[in-house]
Amino acid sequence: MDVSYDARVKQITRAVGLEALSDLIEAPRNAHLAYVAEGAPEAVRVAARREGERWLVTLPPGTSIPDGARVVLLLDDGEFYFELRGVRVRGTLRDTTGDGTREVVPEKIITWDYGSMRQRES
Amino acid sequence: MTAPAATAATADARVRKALRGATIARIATVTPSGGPLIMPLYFVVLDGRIYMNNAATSPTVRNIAAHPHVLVLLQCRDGEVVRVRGTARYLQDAATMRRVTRASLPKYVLRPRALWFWIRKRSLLSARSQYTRERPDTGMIEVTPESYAVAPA
Repeated sequence: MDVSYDARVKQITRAVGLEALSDLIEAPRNAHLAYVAEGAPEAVRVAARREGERWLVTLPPGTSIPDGARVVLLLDDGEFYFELRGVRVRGTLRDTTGDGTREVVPEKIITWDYGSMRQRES
Repeated sequence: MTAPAATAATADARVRKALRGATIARIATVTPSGGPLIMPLYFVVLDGRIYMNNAATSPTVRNIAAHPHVLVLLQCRDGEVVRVRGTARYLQDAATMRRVTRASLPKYVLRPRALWFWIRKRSLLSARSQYTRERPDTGMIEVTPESYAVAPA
């Protein structure tokens, strides 16, 4: 898995480690799952949580996303500039739990926290 | 609610509330290879269109060049979500950027909580300034709404 802390940035980075966002990840107020349905972008609010290394989501009733679909899970927080932070997990949706909860198997994770903006360590 | 060629003026009260009151837009796009992406962005509404600042090199801008149809989610403080489907394009003209900046100031900067953050985080201002300088290719995503739907909280 490629864990990228925003390769686009140059001298200044807003990226942080996942541990710095543990409260956001453990109890996200805003969790959305994006996917593609018949060629069009789609996104729904989900309940999300992290258990160990697993990213788990509960879809809203009536939402059908096929097993193996490419998805992006977005957990974000904040309203004003220096409180904006988030995690974006790109991966594949899998039915691995058997209890209706689905798992986002990550391929790439990007994080940001504008309140931690700083010079990138060389 | 479906509103072909809709504008903010013709949207119902809940849509107008979201367009006026939400601070973060989450824009879902399709990548050139057909995958999903979703990003949270600031936005303002001008003449019934939604504008979001974004760098020309951002994945979202790359995506709308290939697939201009987008979905924008606007979440009100009560949790209700307005879903806006529309067509997006990327603009870098100075006149529109000035209008967007003017509309953004009272929404995102000239508010007590925003100002409190600027003061509290003043040690980051030079890093923020450099961060902005490193991204000189900023422009705007313009979304022309085609339909709205309201999802319960």
